[in-house]
Amino acid sequence: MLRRYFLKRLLVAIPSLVIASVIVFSLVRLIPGDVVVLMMEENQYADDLEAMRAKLGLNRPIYVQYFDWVGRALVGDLGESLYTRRPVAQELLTRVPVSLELGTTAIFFAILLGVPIGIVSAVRQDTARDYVARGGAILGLSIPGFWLGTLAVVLPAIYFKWSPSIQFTKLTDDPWGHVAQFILPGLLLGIGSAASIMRLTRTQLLEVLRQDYVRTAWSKGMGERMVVLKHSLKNSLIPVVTVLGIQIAQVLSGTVIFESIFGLPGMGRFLFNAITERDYPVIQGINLVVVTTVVGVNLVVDFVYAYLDPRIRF
Amino acid sequence: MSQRQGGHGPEVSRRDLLKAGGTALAAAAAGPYVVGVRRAGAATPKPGGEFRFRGYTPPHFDPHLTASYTTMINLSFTHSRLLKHKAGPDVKPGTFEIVGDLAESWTHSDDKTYVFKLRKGVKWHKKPPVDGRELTAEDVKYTFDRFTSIKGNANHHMMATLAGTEVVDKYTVKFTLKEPDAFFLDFLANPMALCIVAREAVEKFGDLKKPEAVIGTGPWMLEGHESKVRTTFIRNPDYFIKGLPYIQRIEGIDFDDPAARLAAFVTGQIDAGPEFPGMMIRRQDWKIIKEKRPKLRYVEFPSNVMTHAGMRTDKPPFGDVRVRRALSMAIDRKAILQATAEGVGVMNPPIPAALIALAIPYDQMGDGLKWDTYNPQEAKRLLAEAGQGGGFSTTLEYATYGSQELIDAVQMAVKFWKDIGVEVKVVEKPYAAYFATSYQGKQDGLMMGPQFPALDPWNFMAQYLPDEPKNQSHVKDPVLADMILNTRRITDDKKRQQQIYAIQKHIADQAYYVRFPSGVYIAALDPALENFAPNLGYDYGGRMIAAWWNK
Repeated sequence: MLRRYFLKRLLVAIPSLVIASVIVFSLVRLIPGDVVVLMMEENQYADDLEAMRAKLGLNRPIYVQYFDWVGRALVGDLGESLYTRRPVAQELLTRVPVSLELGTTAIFFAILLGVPIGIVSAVRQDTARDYVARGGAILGLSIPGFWLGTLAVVLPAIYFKWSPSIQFTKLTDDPWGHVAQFILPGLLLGIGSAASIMRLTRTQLLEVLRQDYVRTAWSKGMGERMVVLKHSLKNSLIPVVTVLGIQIAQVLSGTVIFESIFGLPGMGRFLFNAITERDYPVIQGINLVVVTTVVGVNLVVDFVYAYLDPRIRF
Repeated sequence: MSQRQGGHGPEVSRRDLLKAGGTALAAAAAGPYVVGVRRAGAATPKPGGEFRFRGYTPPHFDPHLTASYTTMINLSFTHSRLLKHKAGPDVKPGTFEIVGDLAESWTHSDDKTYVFKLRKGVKWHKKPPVDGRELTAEDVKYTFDRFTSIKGNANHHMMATLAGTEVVDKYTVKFTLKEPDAFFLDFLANPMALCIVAREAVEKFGDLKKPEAVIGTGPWMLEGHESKVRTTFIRNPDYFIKGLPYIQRIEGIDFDDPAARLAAFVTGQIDAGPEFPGMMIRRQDWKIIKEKRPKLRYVEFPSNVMTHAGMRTDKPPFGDVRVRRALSMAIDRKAILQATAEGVGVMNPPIPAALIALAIPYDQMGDGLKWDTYNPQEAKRLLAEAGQGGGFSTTLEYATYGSQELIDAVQMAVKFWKDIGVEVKVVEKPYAAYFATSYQGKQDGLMMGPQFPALDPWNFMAQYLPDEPKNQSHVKDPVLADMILNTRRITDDKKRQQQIYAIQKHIADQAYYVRFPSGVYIAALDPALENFAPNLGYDYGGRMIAAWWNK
């Protein structure tokens, strides 16, 4: 039964990927202006316009271009960066880990802050702690990440003559320095997600805490910790896990700005630069990786549903 | 008042400028102003140390296959040219005295022949496949043959007048031109694409795009390159000027965010102003930076980035000189400068004021000055005289370049034109579309944007030649074209300057473009860096050769 559920979810993910790949492929071609002319003017990527179109494969029918691109992507060939001439897949190999580390740190902080504060807020509903937590969540949702990031870099520099290092530290050079450089951007990137998770955890927990079986648990004389954490929390987490899946996509898009502000050579910064340089194979390649990651994460979320609630087998 | 460095010629402080208002702004066009720079301290240079600046990841490293300044900045550390621009604390920013680099001396026997004697004993970097062999005249010939013949060289126009090169002997090379070109030496010295490259590197790697192919004869060798992270250079122990360079290692750290750059500079993580071009800082950051790093060395000088509005002079109503003059007179340039650059800047003659050797002093533009002076009433009268008394409507195409200052300038210009009855509909284009169309003069009415910050006057004058793609105003003025082409044939510096002045007067009088003022750069450096002075242009390495750390 469980295996059938997994297979079904897996099959549903395939059309999502196909549609996403069509969008990723098409959007690049909808950007206004003759990109080929621009690339020739700016960077002389080829001898002439026709050679440029041939190099990009733009002189072939669009469906041929699409199937060729997808075919190569399936075997891990995402083309070659027009800017650096290196294979996109090879570039991504060094950058994806950086973005994943940043994204993981952000999600870690989002859960670390969002779930406990949501629990406290629900359990202490309409108290000062609840109001502070809810106010904080509203702030966290409304303050743009790039603004927080900028303040976090500039204000300590001005008032304390300190700012995060602009030098990217490799894991092999200094393991602690490598991990440490993700803490501040990860925390800031995770704040928005923490706010969403906090609010949802609170709402869901409040609903569960009003269920009959919880009242029964209280009436049996169980302690608060047991009632909330053991009997209520797990049942309130399914929507939270759903949101977490969405948050991962948002965090991945947020890395574009945070990697730029904090000088981290990740996928987001690579994408930002590729867009600036109109390096279309890179833009397509990164977007495909991001889309695949998001679809993959949501697949995992579906599997987690089944774990959290064995009744779920849709 | 800060101390001032001696020997810099005309010195006007920013405060002086602000006090004096527009007059001083115009006067400043005559030369850069230097504030707060002190003369080098200890007399004996100390070798060693590391210099960290905001670096750039280039598209690739082949100088003959890109026009990107990011490539040229990196290669300025590793490669030499035949000639170069003099650098050092005694050089006024905005001046470009030509001195020998690989060339020990040069002569021109006639208007079309230049003979260069090369330094002896110049060694290529000790990297395979060149492995430190001696540079000869063959290398120079190979470089220029490649430069002129390779397909896809965006800078090909720089050697448009070169007919060929010839090896006279191991250390002598002869250049023959198709026609006299008085700007030929300027192009050779320009830190843009004309560095000497090694044949073996091209043959081994196919081209010079890869970091491994960065093999020059310059003061530093490429040590490492991590795309979008850092590029590092290590001192070349065999550099042909014994004892130089002093600084052991150069690190160009590539980071995009301006706030992060400000923070890095305030906290001393980099040693020079992190803004493009040439170790600058943003004016809006200046107050904070001065408070936090009060001992900084800094130099202020006008930018050679000039924004202008081009118009279809081949179509009505812009074909009428009275309409063009009215459009120019409608613009309150001081107000734009105030709004976009805190009032600190210079008014531009047709060649940007920053290029002080050949830009005509703004107040000597003759009748052209009148059309640059804000006078909306007179502008309306001119429009009426041209039969446009009821005003007219047109479009203005532009790209933001990610610059709020440019957006503000465009909006203010539109407002000023509306004041005289000209309704301008702004068409904002993505940079790609703008560059491929409006920047090439393919706009319907007006276009507006910054122009390429060249160091030579030719680039600016060429915008008035009928067949030039950057002739955004579609100027077809045979008299002017003759005057411009003739400048190439005038080898006497004084006479050439007079001719270029005359050209600028003519252009200003015809108001082919509406020119806008330029801001004033602030170049800022760690106070312990001795024997260094900033300038316009991408020759970061050339200016660093004799610098050293006094700490």
